[in-house]
Formats: sequence, structure tokens, C-alpha cells
Amino acid sequence: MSDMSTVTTFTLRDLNRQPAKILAAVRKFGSVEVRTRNGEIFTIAPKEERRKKSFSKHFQALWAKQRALGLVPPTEDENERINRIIAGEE
Amino acid sequence: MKTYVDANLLVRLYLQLPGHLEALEQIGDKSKDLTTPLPMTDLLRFEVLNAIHRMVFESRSGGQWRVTPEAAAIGLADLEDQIVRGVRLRCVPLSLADIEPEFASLTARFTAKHGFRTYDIIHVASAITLRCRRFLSFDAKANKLAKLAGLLTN
Repeated sequence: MSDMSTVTTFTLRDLNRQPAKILAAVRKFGSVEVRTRNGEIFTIAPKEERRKKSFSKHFQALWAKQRALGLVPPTEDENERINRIIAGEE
Repeated sequence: MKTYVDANLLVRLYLQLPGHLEALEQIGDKSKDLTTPLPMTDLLRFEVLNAIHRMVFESRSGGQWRVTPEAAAIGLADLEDQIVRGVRLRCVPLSLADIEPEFASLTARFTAKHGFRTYDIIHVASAITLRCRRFLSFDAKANKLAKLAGLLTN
């Protein structure tokens, strides 16, 4: 395994002899590359589940439900306090 | 580009706190940079979980805003669902031992001079260990550390 760059790279020999190690690296880093001796590079990554609706629509629906359940969002002038609460400083 | 988001951004997104629309823009459908799911470490998940519950607690102390337990609960359920489905958020097995070298390096280089908080260092060390190039937060201190560490920020 080579990990000097931002992408983790394995060889075809690694893929043949240590497939579990490669899948563990995919789980950790999101994807890895496998390089063959003639220079070809293949990417291994988990298959993405097909999205039924966009992320934006998903959150718009979630926020509407939360408002219906009584959520009243803070305004911009509460920002510093929000930061302290999230950071556990207040 | 592989991106790491911290608890500050995720809590804003899941409780529609100030900045939530910008957060959605940065990690949502229109984000051209986001090609892989956002990594979710156990520590990040724990911090988001507790921060959302704390927002319920803090909102009881007066003021014009309110986070009800019910609104927090559906936000948390949605977050867990996103993690389980693994489309935008993905659990990553990252132990404290994994991030220790980066944590030690960051704290030795920057904390005495800038006074960074432990959790900010944990998040930036996690991002670097996971080979993320971009770090997104709405917290100025976390962003400052990420920039010093060589990561792209929002």
C-alpha cells in the first residue's frame, strides 16, 4: 500500500492477496486506487444508493416538519452563543 | 474533492440554525466539489448528538428561539438515517490511535501560540488522517486551525 499522497494506492498483487485490507481502506477513506504494472489505475469505491429526491428538497421537508413541531430558529445575532453551545463552552 | 465537516456545520444544518442554507449549499446537490460521502467519525457523531440535545436545554433559558425535543428528535432520526444509508454521510472507523500522530503534531505546532481547543484539533487531525482536502465549519477557531494545517476552508 502506498499512502504518501491524498489517495491510497494498492497494487494488483495487494488486490489478489489482501482483498479484506483493501475493503477496510475503502471503508476508511471512501475510495482507493489499484495500479497495475502497465500503469492502468482503477478506483474502488462503495456503490452509492440511488437518491429518490434531492438533498435540498429533503432538508426543506425536514425543516418544515421541525417548524411544525415548534422549532423557532435563532437569528444571526445569536451566532456567537450558538457557537459556544455547540463547542460545549456555555 | 474529499471534504470533512465538523459538528458546528452539521448541527446548524439539522436544526436550521443561522448558516443552514449556506451549509446546504456547500454540501448539497449543487456542490460540484463533493464527490464522496462526508466522513462521520464516532467522536463527530457523539458531539453532534450531544450538541443537538444541548440546544433543546439552552433554548429553555429564555430568548426568542426555541428547539423543542420533538424537533430535535426528528433531526437526529434523519441524521442517523443518512448515516445508515451512507449516501451523503458515511461512518468511518477512525480510532483515537489513528489520529494521534496528527493530533500530536497539530497541538505541538499551534496550540501554545493560538490556544486551540481539543475538539477542534481532533476534527482537523481526523480530516488530515482521512486525507480530506477541504474542511467546512462555521466556527472561526476551527477554520483558523484548518487553514494553518493546509486544508481548504469555506
